[in-house]
Amino acid sequence: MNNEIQKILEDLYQIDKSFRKYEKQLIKIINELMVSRPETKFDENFRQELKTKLLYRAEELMKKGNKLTFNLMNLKNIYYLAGVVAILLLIIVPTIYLTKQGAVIPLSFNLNISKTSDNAFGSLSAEQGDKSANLTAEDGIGAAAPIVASENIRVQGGGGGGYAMPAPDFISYSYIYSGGEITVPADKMEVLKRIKEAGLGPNLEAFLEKFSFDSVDLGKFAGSKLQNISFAENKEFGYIININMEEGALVIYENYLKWPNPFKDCGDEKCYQQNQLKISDIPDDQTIINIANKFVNEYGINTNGYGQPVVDSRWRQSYESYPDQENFYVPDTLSVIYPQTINGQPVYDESGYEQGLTININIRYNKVSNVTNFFSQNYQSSAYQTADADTIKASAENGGYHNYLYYDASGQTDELELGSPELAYIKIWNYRSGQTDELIVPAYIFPLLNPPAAPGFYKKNVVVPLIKELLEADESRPIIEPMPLLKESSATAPSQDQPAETVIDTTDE
Amino acid sequence: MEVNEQQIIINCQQGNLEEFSRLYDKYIKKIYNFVYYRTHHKETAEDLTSQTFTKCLENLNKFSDKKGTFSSWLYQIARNTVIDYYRTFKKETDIDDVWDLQTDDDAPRDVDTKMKLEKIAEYLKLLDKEQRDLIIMRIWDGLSYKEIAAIAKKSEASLKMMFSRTIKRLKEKDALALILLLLLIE
Repeated sequence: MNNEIQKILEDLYQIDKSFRKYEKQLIKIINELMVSRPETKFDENFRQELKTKLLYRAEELMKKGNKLTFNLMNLKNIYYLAGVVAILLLIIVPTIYLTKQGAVIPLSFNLNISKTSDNAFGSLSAEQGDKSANLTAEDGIGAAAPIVASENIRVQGGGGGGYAMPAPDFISYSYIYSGGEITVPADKMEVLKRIKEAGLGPNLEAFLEKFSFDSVDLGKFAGSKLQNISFAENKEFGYIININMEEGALVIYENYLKWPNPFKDCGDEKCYQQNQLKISDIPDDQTIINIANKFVNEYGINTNGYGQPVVDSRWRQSYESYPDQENFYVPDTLSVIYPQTINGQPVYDESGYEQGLTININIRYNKVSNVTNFFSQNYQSSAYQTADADTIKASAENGGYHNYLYYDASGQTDELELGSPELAYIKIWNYRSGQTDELIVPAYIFPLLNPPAAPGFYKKNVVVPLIKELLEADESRPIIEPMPLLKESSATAPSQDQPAETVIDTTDE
Repeated sequence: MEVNEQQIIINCQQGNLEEFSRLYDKYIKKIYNFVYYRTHHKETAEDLTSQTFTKCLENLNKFSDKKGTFSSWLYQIARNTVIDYYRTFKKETDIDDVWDLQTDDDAPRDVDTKMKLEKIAEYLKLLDKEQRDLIIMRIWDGLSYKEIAAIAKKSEASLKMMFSRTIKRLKEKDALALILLLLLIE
């Protein structure tokens, strides 16, 4: 008897125990009703179309200035609406406002998109430079997607869990699309550019004059902008909070002086091994998510514009395929990702993984250790021409956007199947004249229907941006050949091709 | 109401209506199924589901958790949308869902669903529309009695009252149908 039937029967027996006499008949009837439940023919296309329609309607309502009335529900949650940063700024600089050329740009973590003219951002692929420009973990900015030389070597950091695992053989992957017809939603689609320059305006001079320092007159620094605010909690398991005003980023991380470090007194490898976590120490995903959610609620972190949290499971995929699991390095820290969404659609990274607000959990102490990838959500949007369906499909069957990998048909190969794509966004970076623009680009996300079993495969989905210019530039991307495996070297006599060791004759001296 | 859902609704009522998509994702399949079980026609179910969510979005400012959960409010909208739809077909008799329709009625139905339900229809037509709706909500929609009471705007005690009256009315009827009615009580 299944659980559902059991539950229904128990409800009945609580009312009248004599119904037990009819148990067989009741089971038969309930089962017949359940089996008769019709197939509802739920259509995913319908789901997506209705969602799009509702989002357009929502946009119309918002434009009309549909000021919804406050009720008791809203008022008692005003703390959440204000957000951590807004309250902080009110406390520190009550008279300062954010300006840029006369326009007010709030440092808001709520989504704000202002429309501009078509092609307003210029070329979206001006330079192919160092992807790590302007982005460092120390500044609290998420690291750019790494360029890897091989699909079989993967390095990832989960806040302390970084490791590398070389594959014994290089495997080339080909991609075959087996989904439905690909259509392009529109001739032009909106590309979003995040507005980052939110440093405080010229009134900061007057503010600085209020500080009295014997060593220097701060008021003399003309045109100063506040760039960073940092402060630390001086308590056990306290945090350091950094607000980067230029990037519009907020980072929370451990105040290392106040967190225990089990390795600090280790003098030998045995000590490290003893303190190393085991796979059995890792709690289930829901427990990890609950810790993150509790922190979010407790500290009033605004998750507006982010989806339901998921645990980043890439480390576990590596563990599952690791040949020597007993000696696998189990990370101390696991990441919970609240996937970024724009107008209800998810924003992926270039490897097809969810990306967004990241909350890392220290597994030793079941506490949040840091919060990263938390940015202001001010965007400009500009329409750019989309590519045609054939180009999009070709890109997908070539491994998708920024697939730098070498394909060697003569070596070991594996064919991967791509399913019908989902319309979403990807986050990419555009490097222009030493600046880094963060762009959110409409894209098709092609699911991998048969992800490879070989270790180290780093894609979750194949992503293809729908913007014509980006795909055209991507066609000329460099292809990286894998590093050849080193052969064992002989430590004995040189080979016949090499000269014998030179003997210096000193007898004449 | 869970904290996340409450926060989403607040955000929507504050003007961030793009958040509505999160509510949509959570309830779309449940509401669609709810409507389909009462219409037996895919295109009709899609149309009425669309109307349900549009009404929900446009009236979200009127929702208050003091009056009930968001879930029960949404289901009520769906239920009323189905009732309104069927009232366009016949004026002289009350038709609240597909079970009230006669074979010559104009309302479209998926043939395969109609055939599958022929047998169970014998039992369900013995019940009045409220009882039938409750059976479907309990067993097909998988709603608890508490949820059903909120949607049907009845107390759980009144559900039991309804049951006892129905027992008296149907005690001469088919024993199998009588047992079916027992499923109405908690």
